[in-house]
Amino acid sequence: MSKTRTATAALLVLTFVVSFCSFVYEFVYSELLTVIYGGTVTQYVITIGLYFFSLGVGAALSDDLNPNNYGENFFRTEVLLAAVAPAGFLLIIGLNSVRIPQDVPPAVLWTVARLPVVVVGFLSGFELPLLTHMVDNSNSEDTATPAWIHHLGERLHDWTVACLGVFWNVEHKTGKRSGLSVVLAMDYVGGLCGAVVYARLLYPELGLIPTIFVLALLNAVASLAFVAYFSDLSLTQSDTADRRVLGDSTATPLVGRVPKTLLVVCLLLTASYAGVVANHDATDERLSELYLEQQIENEYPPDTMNIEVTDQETTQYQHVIRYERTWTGTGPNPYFTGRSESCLRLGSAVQLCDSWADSYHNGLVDVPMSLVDSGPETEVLVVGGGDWIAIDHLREYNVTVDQVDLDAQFMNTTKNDPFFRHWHDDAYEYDRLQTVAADGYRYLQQTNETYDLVLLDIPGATDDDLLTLYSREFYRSVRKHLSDDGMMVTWAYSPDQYPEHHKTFVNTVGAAGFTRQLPYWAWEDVDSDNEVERIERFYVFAPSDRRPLSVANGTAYVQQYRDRYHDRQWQRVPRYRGVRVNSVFHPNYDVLVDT
Amino acid sequence: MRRRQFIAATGIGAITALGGCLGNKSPPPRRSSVISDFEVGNGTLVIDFATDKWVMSRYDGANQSSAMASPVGVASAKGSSGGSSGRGATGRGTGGYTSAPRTGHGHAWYHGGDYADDWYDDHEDEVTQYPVTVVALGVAYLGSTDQMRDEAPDAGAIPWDREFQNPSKTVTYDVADRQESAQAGWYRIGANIVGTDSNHDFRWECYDLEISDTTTGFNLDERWKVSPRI
Repeated sequence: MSKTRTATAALLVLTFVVSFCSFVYEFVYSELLTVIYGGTVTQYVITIGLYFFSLGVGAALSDDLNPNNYGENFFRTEVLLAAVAPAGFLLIIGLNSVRIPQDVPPAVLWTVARLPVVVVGFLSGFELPLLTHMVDNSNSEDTATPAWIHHLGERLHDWTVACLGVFWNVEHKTGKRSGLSVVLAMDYVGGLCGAVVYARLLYPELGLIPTIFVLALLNAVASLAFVAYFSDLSLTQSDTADRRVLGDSTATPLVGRVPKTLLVVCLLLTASYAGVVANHDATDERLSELYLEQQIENEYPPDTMNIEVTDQETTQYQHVIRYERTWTGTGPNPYFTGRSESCLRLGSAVQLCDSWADSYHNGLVDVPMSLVDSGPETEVLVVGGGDWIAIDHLREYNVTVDQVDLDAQFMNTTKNDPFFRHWHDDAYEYDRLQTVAADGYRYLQQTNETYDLVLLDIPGATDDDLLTLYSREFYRSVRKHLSDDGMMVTWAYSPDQYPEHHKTFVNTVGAAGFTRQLPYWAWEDVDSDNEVERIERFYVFAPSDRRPLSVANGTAYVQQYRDRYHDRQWQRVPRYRGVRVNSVFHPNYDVLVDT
Repeated sequence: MRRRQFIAATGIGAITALGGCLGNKSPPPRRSSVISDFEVGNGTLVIDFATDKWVMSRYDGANQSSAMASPVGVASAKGSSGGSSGRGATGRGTGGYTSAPRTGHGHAWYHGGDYADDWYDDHEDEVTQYPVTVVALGVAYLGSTDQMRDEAPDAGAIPWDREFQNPSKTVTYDVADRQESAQAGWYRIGANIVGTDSNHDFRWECYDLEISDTTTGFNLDERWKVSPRI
């Protein structure tokens, strides 16, 4: 194998590695931004757009890099990437962990959170032109691959060119290919491999935080390998000439002068990242705990609540977080009785706290149960509710229950977990309960059952994955499976705080054929201050007139808060002009909150 | 193309494209005329209602029957003086403190800015001006100026310190009767409005006022109108 042959092969391997890293960095950023800000499509599309734009800017400016120092500039680029990519990741997390003054415009935060995407794209833009120049300068006429692979490649090439010739005017090229074509080809292969490895291995097996450090380690090691191979810092003297020679007629090292400081930085980064990757479980757990704790604390006024994450688990569908919240404010605790209590989140959305677990389900179950008869002949469908608590409340009325929830793993966990058992009291053993682990939308399309009551105990509309459960098609499926007097019940976001979501939600429900609504709150004195507080807002929807909510004939909960329910009346579902409904095939992203 | 021209052209293209992400496409706060004036004299806050009260809304009242409709928010706002922000203690539907809409979302100056004019011009056919009646008025002390800066509540009702049902033309509230440490500072005045003809509940129009205590008495320093987005 000639001197330049191996040099070219090494440069192509490097192209593969840096391309792999570059693509996966952007996947990691996209997912991180989705986790934090919501809106999968929005975040991925903007990240990819910014990435390609920054790549273009970097590539355009690469012509200004000194042509006598391609190797050195490539090394600088790779060290910078290895340093900047994880730092950018931590910057995005930090932005959402610290309290940002209200005076800071949202556009500034939006921009700063996307800076890592731009910087990584810009630096990656240098890579291909530099590598192309280096490959072009290598002057290799031979192939670095074994003969049989070379032969196979030639046959494949012949066949591909023949196919191209059907439509294009082609000229079969033999011998050395241009540096641009081989580097680009290797770049795309690296990108594809990056996508597959990230989707099938890195993200599901390691998670986002270790992945970014694995990539940075790979980047740093590639930098060191490049320097070791193409500079005077070769490991052995015997083959120095091979390693540093550019072409047959020159003996100039590709990396003429290695900045010692940069080399030390690169070595330190490599060692640090290796340490982090070796202890990735502990790093992942600690970093995510810190982020989550700070993020949840920021939901309260400054210095009023301390959060301690006690447990985390990631199922196939959601991230389950358990934590203790402790009141640290100066006055009386307005959130719950006592100083501490346990809560549960699915992703970023709070699902359950000790202080209101019961009253939330009073609102979801006990209020609408005042509108239907008790007994086995009443058929109820619960969509979601994997914590079994709604089932426990329904059991009190001896009704027949079908439950459909996507996350069987979460449902199994909650069966025996002491925190949940306290609230569901082994309700999964209820003899009139039939549980199906499936997607609620798909279940409703396939079942022939009809229900007197459909309870939607589903997560908030924070993610594109949930668009279907807030769509006209889903609500229409629910309506079609209601009995003649059937109703649908759901909790709802504040119309003042999320006006666009609310209007889209209401128009969507209306478009699905629901014409009557009964809005109400669940109530309880959660902080023992002798004042009853609002717990959650709910709606009962029906396609036609239904019997009024009668306090006298209501459930024990409705009678307990009779002054809150005595004047609840059915109304027409309002419609708002200029607000498009959310449909599966024509989504209205206004239905998502926090995007 | 020369490199600099290329970079300039792509830069302009990128900024234009990103403008679509950064720009505010949300509808502006709704316009209304509910309270005409506030005055503070002799330790009393005087709230005067507008003679012709109206609100602009995208609510489509054309096919809505008023026979069965009733206000939603009135009863639920009563007596909620706990610390749960008057919006539900769970945080499911509210998103918590940091995600509460700030100036850019739920709050607005009286006028609302040029983008509000443009929005109303562009959506003229979607918006209707409805005559309304005030069925309840609430007054709540929000805190000192520093507290308000850190914890400005979003649009809508909050736990009221005092609530007036079916108020007449003018309502008075004695600031001087409050505990001395909680007299000067920010107050929220909220009016629950219901369509006069449609009987549709348009929820709350709110105003945040800053009252200072000087040697010559109480002064009204700042007033903000806090409306939900239309």
